[in-house]
Amino acid sequence: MEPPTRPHLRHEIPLEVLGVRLVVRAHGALAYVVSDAVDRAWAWCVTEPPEDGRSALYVDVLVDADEEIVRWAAGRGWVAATTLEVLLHNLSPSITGRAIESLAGQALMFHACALADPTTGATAVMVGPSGMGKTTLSRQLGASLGYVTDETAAVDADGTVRHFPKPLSILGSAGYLKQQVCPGELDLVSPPSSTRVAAVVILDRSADAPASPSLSPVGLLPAIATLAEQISYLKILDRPLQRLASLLQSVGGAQRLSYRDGADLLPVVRQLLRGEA
Amino acid sequence: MPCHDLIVDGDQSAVYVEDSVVVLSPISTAVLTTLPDDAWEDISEIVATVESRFGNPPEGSVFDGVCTVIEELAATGLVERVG
Repeated sequence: MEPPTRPHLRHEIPLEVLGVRLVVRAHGALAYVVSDAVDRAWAWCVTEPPEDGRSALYVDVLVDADEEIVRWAAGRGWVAATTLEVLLHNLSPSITGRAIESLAGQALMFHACALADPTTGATAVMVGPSGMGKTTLSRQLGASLGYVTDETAAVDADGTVRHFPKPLSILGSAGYLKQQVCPGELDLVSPPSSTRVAAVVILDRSADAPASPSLSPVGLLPAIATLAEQISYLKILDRPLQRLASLLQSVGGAQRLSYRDGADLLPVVRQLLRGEA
Repeated sequence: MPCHDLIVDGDQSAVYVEDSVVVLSPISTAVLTTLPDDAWEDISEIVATVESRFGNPPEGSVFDGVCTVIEELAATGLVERVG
């Protein structure tokens, strides 16, 4: 049943996220305003509408000033808010969650940012928990390297890194709420069509780190133990540790990147992408 | 055994138990890989295996060392101890 006092409008934005087809359906009187904002923020993930609607996942969204209607929508599993800013803020983890849930058991999904050589497609998967500066790194390195993701790097068994050029969450002038900014608005470089993992990096940012960033190899087992904590749905994979070990061995093992400021990292990451580290 | 996977690298191993990956020492790895799947093993057999591979410890006995390792493995849920 639809909310009784609102005209039912609906607009759809088809997205491709980590290779997963997903449609955002905006509902309610503000559907077109919402869909326009989603379309702009998620522009690098927008794709053609699915030919067969049954094969897509749907994320339903609603903005309405009436809190009762928002609660009604949330009760149906929609992403709903009383303001557009809050909706966009909440939509990003919802889309990410739906996509990675859909890929469970298929890909190694690292909590990572990923940057690619725009020419060769060689990609550095840079793994770290929240607060390690992945979005900041993506902005800094993505001005020169292809921006693949600042959130989740999904690596297939053949080493392909799936694209997830989502909007970047950037703290706005208002303070507490991060804005969702399209990578194009930040002049980031789009990723080449084919991206393959060339390096797996464990990010280690610290104010106490030496001024010059440094790379150090991490043994296979400690790397597996560290990385496992940053992989979604790892246990769903068949032989998960073997799969992770195989990936690490294919790139010459994991590297720990100790650094103080991401602005210094471009030469190091270029070196990694050339296989020279 | 609630183990999703095990990987051995050299004389060490990593096991994926419940929701975390634990790196095991060489002796723990030897004990774990000595145990048959879904069957009981007498501790004297494990002690013999460890003794032949690592020799005697500078302090204490192999038996005590193996018992400690088994207690640690049992605490993670990787093995069960009876008797």
